[in-house]
Amino acid sequence: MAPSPRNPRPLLAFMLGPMLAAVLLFGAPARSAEPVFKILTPDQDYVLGEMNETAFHIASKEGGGVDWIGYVIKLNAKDFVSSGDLAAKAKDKRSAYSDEGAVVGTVYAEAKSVFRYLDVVHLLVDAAVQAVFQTDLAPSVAVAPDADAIYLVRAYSGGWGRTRDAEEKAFVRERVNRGKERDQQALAVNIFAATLDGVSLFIPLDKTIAASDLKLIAAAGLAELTRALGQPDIMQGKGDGEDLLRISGAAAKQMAIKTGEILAERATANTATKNFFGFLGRHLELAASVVNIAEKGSKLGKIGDRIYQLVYTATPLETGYLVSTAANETLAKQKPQPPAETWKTLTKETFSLDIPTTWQEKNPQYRGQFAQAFRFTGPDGEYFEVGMDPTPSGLGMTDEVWELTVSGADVQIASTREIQGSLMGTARGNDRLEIMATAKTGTKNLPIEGHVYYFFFGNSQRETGVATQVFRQVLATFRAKAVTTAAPAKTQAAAVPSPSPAPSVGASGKVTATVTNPAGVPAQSAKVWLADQQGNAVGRYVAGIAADVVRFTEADGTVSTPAVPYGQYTLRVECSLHCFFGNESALKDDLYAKWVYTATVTVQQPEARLGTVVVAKE
Amino acid sequence: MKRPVVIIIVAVIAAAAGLLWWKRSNSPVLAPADTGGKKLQGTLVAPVGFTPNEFTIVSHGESREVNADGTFTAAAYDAGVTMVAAMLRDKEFGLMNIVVTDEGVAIPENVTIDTQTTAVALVFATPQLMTSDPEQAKEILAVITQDPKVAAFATIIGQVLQSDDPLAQPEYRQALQAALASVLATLNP
Repeated sequence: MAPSPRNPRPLLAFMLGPMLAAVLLFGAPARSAEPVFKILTPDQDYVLGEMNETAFHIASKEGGGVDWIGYVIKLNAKDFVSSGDLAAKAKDKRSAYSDEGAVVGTVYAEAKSVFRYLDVVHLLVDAAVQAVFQTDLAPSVAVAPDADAIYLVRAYSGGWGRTRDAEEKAFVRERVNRGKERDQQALAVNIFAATLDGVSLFIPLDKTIAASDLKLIAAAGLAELTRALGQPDIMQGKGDGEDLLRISGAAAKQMAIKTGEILAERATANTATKNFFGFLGRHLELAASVVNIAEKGSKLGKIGDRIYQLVYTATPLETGYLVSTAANETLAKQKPQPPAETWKTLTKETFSLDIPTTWQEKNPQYRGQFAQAFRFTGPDGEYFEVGMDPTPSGLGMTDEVWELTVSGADVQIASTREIQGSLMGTARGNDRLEIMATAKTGTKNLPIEGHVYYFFFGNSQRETGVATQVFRQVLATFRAKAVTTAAPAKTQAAAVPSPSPAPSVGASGKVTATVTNPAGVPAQSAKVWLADQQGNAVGRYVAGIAADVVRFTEADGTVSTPAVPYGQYTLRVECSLHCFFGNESALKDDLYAKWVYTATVTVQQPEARLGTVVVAKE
Repeated sequence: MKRPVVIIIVAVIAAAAGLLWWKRSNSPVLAPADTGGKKLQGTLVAPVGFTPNEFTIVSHGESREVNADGTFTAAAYDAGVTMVAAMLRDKEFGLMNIVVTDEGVAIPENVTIDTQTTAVALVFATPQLMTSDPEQAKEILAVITQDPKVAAFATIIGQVLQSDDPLAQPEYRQALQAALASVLATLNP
């Protein structure tokens, strides 16, 4: 196998001769300075972090059978109050940070169990990841040894590691900032790489097919994998080898079909070739669905082996820290003290409030009971959810009710009481602290600046011993905003007929549309979703995982979104690798093209019909 | 020999080796050492009711006609694992074989395609078992070839070949399932 161009060894060897001569002639250079970075690793079962003077990379350890995608994230040095605090957090495999979105680079470590056409597989993985996830997988990431340089390294496999650390998957998907998305992408890449190896039986990974065409074929496979992993019941943490086999089969099928199409376009194939790839696609899909991989999967092909390792042995996450010597010295000089809770202000369209900086915004659990809901969660199970304008449905049980009074745009706590049964019922004994707070006059809700607010807070992990001061503080910072009658700014407004009669408060409706390209050709399999004003995709979530959020257009371009509460949303349509205009790929010769449509829509009737919407190249 | 002379010789040799290595590394990325698409010779054993000229050979992204006596040539990896198929005219079905090649030679050299090799190939070409590694492929193929459920699958293939859509036949699915489960059980006792 030819050495990879990204492999620096040849160049090093070329330089080795003169360097060796210089060393022998002039003696060894002075001993290099102390390393500028220290690497802290709470777990390194499968991945090693390695640092040269300015760049960091990761490598799979011997015996590791899966690929890893590593995100190098610069942390806020203020997250740590001392070197001891840093050491303690670095030792804890379950430490999580609110600022894990600040990625300075993404690195890739291949499994040690290499594929036969490793160079080609690597190239195609790179190209497909760039095309589908818009992420560049680099061999290394440059990091500067600044005085505040503390980097977190999160390496994802997408695995479940059932026999090693069965609890880690839930931590990754529920507690780690952007963990769900990165976990899913790493899983897709792992199955994809193994599937590429398998399809080399019938898709020649050599000079027979042009590199540009192979990239299109690969991108079609990864796009299908990603689409399939987004389906309900696949990624809910159960780690089912049968599902993963089926997804691999579907990806292989897409690659087979794409190959047949491309060879036909290039006039190098006849009907027999197209039939061959069509047949293989169907056969692979069928075979993947009829037999699962047994738990004793020691002898399998490359795909079966990869899936077996993902489900049973590979843990989903490996974590490390890179700390510059300067940052470490700064922390060492600081006196250990309890971390001060710092706060940040969140501003929404109708209100603002302060929450601790370690908290994150999550999908609301009371979305169905309110026109809008916003949820914020802390690192130790704390949560605070704001529901605005309740729908006429039950609110369930709670442990305590806090009554609020309204003072202008603010609220104040008037009284608190425990629920002992009665109308709402008590939620005592379910291992969660659940408190509801609202402002009422008698039995009527008291609006604040034109809206009715309910607050739900407590702790999802503990029922007793929870300090409520933090919730009092959040409530004290709540400020409702006056409702304005001015129409909100719209980048592009979609005409939706006004309903008659006027819609009832709390009802829900769906948006229907027909998607075409500018030539009027229907877009098939275009992704369609509605996002709320925070940019979150709206739909049905099961245990916090999207179960029905993104929908795909039919062959005639038609689509209907899930039913959502009446309100204003952004409709987004995307048509790229997975999408077709009529019988033609949406991308044709432009692998990096993306066709999109974005509009602000107001849902105020059971079915808001947009008519035809036209996607344009982004 | 004096020390500086030895050092210079060592340096020149190392530099030359490095240059050679660097040059190799700059060969086209999509050209691993075992490219070339070798042409293999083989024989198609047409099932009863069919003649060889009703089939077209498809392998390694190429298609070729079958001679009247059933002989054919097919493209394959110089060294690797290739599926060689004989597709039925106007049907999404055909007969096939999995061919392991080393330095342009098939192992075994005589490539035959019939219903038995088709059953073996179809059990191998599954997400559970397929691999590009020749040694691993040989081990797996040896187990598949010996499996009685695979032989039964071959019989079913001979039967469904006459139908318009062989892959859609329930007995095909059942026989594939039984054969694949049996092979997996043998490989992972």
